[in-house]
Amino acid sequence: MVHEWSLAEAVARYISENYRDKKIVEIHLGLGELQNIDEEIFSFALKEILRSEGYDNFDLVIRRIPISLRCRSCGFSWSISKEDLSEELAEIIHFLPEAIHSYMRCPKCGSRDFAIISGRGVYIEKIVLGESK
Amino acid sequence: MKDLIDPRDHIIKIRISQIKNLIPVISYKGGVGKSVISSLLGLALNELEYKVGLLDLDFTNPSLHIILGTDLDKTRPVEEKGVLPPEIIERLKLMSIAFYTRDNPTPLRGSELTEVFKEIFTITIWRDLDYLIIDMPPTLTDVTLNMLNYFRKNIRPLIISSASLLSIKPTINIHKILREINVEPLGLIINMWRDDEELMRILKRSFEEEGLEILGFLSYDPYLEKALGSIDRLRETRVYKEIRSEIVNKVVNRVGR
Repeated sequence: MVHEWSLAEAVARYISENYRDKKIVEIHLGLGELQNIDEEIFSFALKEILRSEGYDNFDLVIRRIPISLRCRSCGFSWSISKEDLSEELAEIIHFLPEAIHSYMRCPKCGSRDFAIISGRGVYIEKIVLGESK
Repeated sequence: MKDLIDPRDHIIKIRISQIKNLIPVISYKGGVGKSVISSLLGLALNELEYKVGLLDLDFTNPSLHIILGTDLDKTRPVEEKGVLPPEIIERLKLMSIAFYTRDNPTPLRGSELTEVFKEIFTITIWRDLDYLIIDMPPTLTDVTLNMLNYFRKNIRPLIISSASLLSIKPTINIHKILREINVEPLGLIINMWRDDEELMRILKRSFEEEGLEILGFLSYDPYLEKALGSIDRLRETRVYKEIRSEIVNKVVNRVGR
């Protein structure tokens, strides 16, 4: 089982710590495109882990967050899609998004000092609760 | 922008729950030998048959893989419900950003260092370890402050200093900061020592007054350079033999206290 599991575990841990004995109806997550998380595997892992903790019958709403980069040196903003990345680079960034600084530079000025404005990581955006369990 | 919740904050401490002892190797400046001492201490504990992990948190300048001669093309973490660090020799695991950044330049700002810190601890599955030796970047900046914030109850830092009068004040300051947040260091290693009785007397008195115990003086070893990249050769160095004879048992005896 792939490393999506460890990220799903982190989400599950947050939920079990903060919503013990609550009925969860919807979980809204943001998944950054940069990390190229396999949504099917991630959802499967999250549902499996949460089921084992007693959470069932919730809707998982996943929003993909597009990649936006901005150079801190010249201010240029640009975007990339996963098709722009080689297979090897996509895999490296899949594990560790900041490794992008090792392989990519600002297309305008050549600086490696750019910010990932959006598109990194896994975030919990909203949890919707129902009647108590 | 509304507040988003970062789930990694909720798993990081779980990930270290099977590690008996976490030892961050810290210093006030670069070039004092943290990475070499981290590697050699890891090897020495490994020789005592402990299960050891080595973690390189010097993200912009990782070097444990170079010291230990780990071939990044042949050795990779394995994916399994996270990332399993490779065993470079029996009972010795290594995790480093270098598996991903290779040896490319990787400039990172403070916020990015924090992202890597959280990501590495979230995805790395160490399983049970007797010791995790953590090679820290120099000074008290983002990565070291994160270490203190997340793991202050779990760590016993080892402080490294070079053999110089200039090292006294900053080393005492690091010790002060640890004591202020109730983190008890294992002690201090003075590295790259060349015999100088006068200096030894001053260093001993200065650190003794602060309640910082000197675990040992490690000799300047001109042959160390030739041993870099080979675990077998590292084990033959004078500095490794000093760690084996004078340091490692003190570390083992003090972690439980």
